[in-house]
Amino acid sequence: MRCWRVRFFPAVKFRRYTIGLGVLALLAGGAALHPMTGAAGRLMSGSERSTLLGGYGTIIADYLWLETNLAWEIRDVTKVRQLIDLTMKSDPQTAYYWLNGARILAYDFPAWRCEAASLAPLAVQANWRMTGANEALLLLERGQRWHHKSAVLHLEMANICLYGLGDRHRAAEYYRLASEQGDAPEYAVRIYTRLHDEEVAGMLLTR
Amino acid sequence: MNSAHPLAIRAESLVKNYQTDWKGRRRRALAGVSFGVARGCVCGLVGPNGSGKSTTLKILAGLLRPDAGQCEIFDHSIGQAISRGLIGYLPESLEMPDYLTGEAFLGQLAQLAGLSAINDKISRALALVGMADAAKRRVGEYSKGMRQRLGLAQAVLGEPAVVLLDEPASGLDPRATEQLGAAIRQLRAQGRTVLLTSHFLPQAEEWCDQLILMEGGRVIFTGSHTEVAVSGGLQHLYLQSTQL
Amino acid sequence: MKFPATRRMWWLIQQALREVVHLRFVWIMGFIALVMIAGVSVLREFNFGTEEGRFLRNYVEATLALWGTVIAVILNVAMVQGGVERGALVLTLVRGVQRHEWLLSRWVAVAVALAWLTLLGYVTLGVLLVRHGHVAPVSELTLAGGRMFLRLMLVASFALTACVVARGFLMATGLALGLTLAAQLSSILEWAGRHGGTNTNWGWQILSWVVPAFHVLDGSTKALDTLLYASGYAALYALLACAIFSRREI
Repeated sequence: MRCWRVRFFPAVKFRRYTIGLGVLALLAGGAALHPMTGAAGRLMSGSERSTLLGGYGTIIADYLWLETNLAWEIRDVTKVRQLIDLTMKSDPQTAYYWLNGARILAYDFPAWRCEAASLAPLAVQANWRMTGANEALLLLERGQRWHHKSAVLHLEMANICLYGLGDRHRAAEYYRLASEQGDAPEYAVRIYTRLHDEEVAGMLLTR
Repeated sequence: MNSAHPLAIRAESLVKNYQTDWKGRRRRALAGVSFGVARGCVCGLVGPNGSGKSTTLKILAGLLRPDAGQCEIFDHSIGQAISRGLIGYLPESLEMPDYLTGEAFLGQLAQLAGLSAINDKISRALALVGMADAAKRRVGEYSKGMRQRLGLAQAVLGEPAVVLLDEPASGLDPRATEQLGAAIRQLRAQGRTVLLTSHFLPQAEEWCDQLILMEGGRVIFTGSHTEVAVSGGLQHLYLQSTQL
Repeated sequence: MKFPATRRMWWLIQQALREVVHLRFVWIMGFIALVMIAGVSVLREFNFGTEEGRFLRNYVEATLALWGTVIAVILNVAMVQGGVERGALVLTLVRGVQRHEWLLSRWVAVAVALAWLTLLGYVTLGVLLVRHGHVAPVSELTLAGGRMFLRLMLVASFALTACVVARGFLMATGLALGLTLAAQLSSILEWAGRHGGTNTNWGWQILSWVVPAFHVLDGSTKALDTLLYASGYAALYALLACAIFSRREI
């Protein structure tokens, strides 16, 4: 005769059954709560990496950007390039990394090369600047996937086309695209209009 | 057991198995333990390590559920609120918070138990175990003997009718053991029933009126002091049982 | 005199909170605040332009999430398993306290400790942002603090369940951290469930239901939904822990 009242029905007398029933209850509760994940639960294609890092993707990207800064200080081109790439992959949703990464590629890398080889012919140096600018534009094209509705990347691409490549037609096109976005600054439209004026376009290029 | 003498503790055919692994293998700790403890006496549960002494005590304290059998405290089944109020328990290993004073520690437990006249009860409990002078010192400053005596004080705090002590003299020096013995004698003088476990035979023989010898989860011998002496002494009985 | 259940619960929570304080929790909070302040000072040596505020905030929140997770697990294990090993549980059980009351009081005490930690973290963040000339919107920080607290409470619930399932300190800590990692990767598990082969499909899907998804707490869902989601899972895990603990041999 048992001297303890069994508080639960007999199936939970033993620990295994208790754990099993508990897990089933958890499963049922989880299934009931699952619809609350909503859109947050569905992954964008290609964004698995940032979700894999979960909420830590941003801080990892921040850390990688600090490392990029340190590599930039010592002008380690290979390391800077690798770290820029890793930073974008860790947190592609932050425009700051795309913009500054592109600027490093477009302006700093060519400048370092020209400084290191100051006796190189001007045509070669111009070629280096063009290569840098094109590389930056490719980077920003990749970034459009996450920022296609934002003007900032378009503006940066326009600036690189204008000052890096000297291609005012392409720059005008990017200014136009920028001006069509919701967060476009007013100068985007003005610059686009002015680029169609030959004289103003020339002044912008020679500045 | 003579039914004319009222029993404070009655255990009948207690069985307890412990699960030893996830595959469900079990170790039998108690294999049908039956005994009775008369009111107002000091009873010793003695036996080698692993004989089921602590398991029996935990079942009586309501900490473990037996797989079969029943046990009662003053005719009330274990597990009922009324039987819980009749029991004081000192576990085998008890660590008290170092940052509390002895008095504060007892005060906490008294509040938890919902006792009335807390200060009086604390004073009496501390006086019983001879710790009145050290009450205001932190537990961290206590010696092993003092901690054990404080443990006994928490067991008698609610002035229970039955006091269960699990290896109360474990790790104590002779002086501290003597002080503990004096406290147990006082409990008997107050008419309380004490059931203690020990594997130190001379001490059990000295303190206890009634002795229960356990081995392999069974009761091998139960009897009064006189019956033990007639049977050749506890040492003889113990050695006989371990050869079986 | 019978101790009413609510009063008994309140008393148990108070005792558990005293224990938390005596585990040097306040010192740990101070240490974490120092780590935040020191880290912010180092970060300010870099030039982030207009993004500095975002960098500072990311750093403080990551510090809080990391330390908070570790503290939630270790504090829970110390309070529950430590309480069982030290005999504190036994002394309460013989005085009529139910096992689930004791367990829940420990959980609530850990919740209060985590609330203090979260509050300290976000107040420190707000002060640092304002001090360094950045915007610190109170409502936004309050919501972020609420989400952080819910995240840490989920971790505490995992740790509570791990403590009652596993016997050793190391096992319990490992199990709790494993559940936390699974929660972090829950969306991946669900994706694997949707895109995997037939055999693994349901397995991963079920796992993603058993373990909550932390990415729900990152601000992409409505505040009320987030609260209900996190509270629901925390309650489920706490109930599971109570059910197991009530049948466990001490």
